[in-house]
Amino acid sequence: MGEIPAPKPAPALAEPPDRPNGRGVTAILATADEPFRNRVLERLLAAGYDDLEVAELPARLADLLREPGQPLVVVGGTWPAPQPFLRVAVNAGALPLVLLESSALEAEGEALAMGARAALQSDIPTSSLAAAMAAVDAGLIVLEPSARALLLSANRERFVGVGTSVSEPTHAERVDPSRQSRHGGANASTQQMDGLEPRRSGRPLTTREREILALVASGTSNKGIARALSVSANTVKFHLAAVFDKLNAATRAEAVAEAIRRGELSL
Amino acid sequence: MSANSLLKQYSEERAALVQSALPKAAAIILGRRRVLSGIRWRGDLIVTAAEAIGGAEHVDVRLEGDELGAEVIATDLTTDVAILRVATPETAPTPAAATSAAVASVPALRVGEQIVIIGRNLRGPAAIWGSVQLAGPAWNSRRGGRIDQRLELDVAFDSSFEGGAVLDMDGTVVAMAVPGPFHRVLGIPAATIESVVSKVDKFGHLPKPYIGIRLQPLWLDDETRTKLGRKSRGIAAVGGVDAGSPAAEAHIELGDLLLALDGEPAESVNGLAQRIASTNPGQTIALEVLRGGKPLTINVQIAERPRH
Repeated sequence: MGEIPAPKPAPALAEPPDRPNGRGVTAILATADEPFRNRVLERLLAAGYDDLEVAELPARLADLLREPGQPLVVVGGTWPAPQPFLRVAVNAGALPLVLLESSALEAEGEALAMGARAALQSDIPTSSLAAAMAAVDAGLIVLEPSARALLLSANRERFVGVGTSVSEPTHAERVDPSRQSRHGGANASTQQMDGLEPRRSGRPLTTREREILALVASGTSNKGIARALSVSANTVKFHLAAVFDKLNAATRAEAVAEAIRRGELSL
Repeated sequence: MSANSLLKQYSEERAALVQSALPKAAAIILGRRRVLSGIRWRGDLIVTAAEAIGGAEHVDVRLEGDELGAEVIATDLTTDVAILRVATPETAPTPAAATSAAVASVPALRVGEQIVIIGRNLRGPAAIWGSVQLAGPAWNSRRGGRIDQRLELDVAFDSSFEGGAVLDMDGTVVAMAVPGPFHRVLGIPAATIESVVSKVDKFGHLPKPYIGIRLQPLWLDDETRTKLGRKSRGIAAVGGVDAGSPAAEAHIELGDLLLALDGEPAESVNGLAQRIASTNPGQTIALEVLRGGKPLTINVQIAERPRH
């Protein structure tokens, strides 16, 4: 079970966000254990979500999601039993947060693939839970650190981890497999925004990474780059992987285009 | 069923169309696990998908009955066109060559038209049938490339067909099939491919236009925007000038705001990147910049992005 570092108190996030229209965060509790469930409910109350409603059946959840109100708690039994609840919440356009009984990467992955905005262990500290719910409400996707390391490579900046500070909630996106594809690829947000929007402040490239990317842009092969810079082809690949990661790119073309947009590469 | 049933004729014609194109179908072998398709374009030149080629320098190519080494001579990430030169072209029969003139007369595809994609993998040639799902006007890819027609194909595609030839019902190669965003299958039109091939013909490699400025997008508040008489709220500022570059020689300065390129308003960094990408080395462009509150027009000669 992955240990979650105790986060710093985050008083600003403990307030449930004001959402007069729409359900917002829908917490789905994946446990059949009654005492455990009560402990999590207590945590949610302590986190400031004091107007919770429990839906024992998916149909009840569908009804509740039609009315405006506070974040919901749904009890669905041990994963994968709560999947129908998750489906209902996703279809209703809510922001589902799945709370699992224990750390299970597989369940986390499945929940995220189905459209959950967060899949967390239920026994995380109250302040982490509040932070996670606020982050989900702000449109971000929240992952356990262990899951983050495993699930994410290029899309890291899109997520926020429990116990880390919440970054600017601007371009949060749902995990979308199509993002892996070409020509439009890793950055659906940029695709919609014409490159004029203020960018997330990414990590800057190193001088070597910039040199390598400029050669990629000139159409030089990896071996050609290795020769030009007197390094091995594997070193070039290693640097390129870091460049892709920093630029949130899945392809060479995306990396070049994104670096130009960020002012890291000359025209 | 009678020997001359319509169904049989239909099937025969389909098979004949595919057969006639097989000499053009190439398998591009990047490794044991990655084989994509390519198109014999003309002479010893083979066209395939640039992104799939990645940073490779040499690949193996399988044509009808032959496996040859090939050199990657150009990758254009902006249009996704890569060009390979096979080592011993004489050993394979040369299919009807695509020429600039022939390509120029390829009619634009219409939505709804039937197409077939011809590819090749290690098990042999392969064909998938489909239709044109969308046929739009010319477009600029987000990678900075000008694509002559927006083509989206309705076809059961897999990655072994990436780089495959899209044929119309005359058997003409009208496009190359590549994967697009959201699981779309895009066609890169023959005209776009030909424009890359002809540059390689002319220069021996693919020169990438370069002036040597790094840009940063800035936001204008409404007051400033109105004062400058600009439609767009975005403006590109020069964040760096490469030493010895055309921009440096033309005395473009750090902090210059880019107002227009060749008289056309410059709006986003993207837009500028695309417009510069569509120029040719040697050409001169006029950049109108705002420096110290005053507009200034500076001519810059496009150079080639350094390759070493």
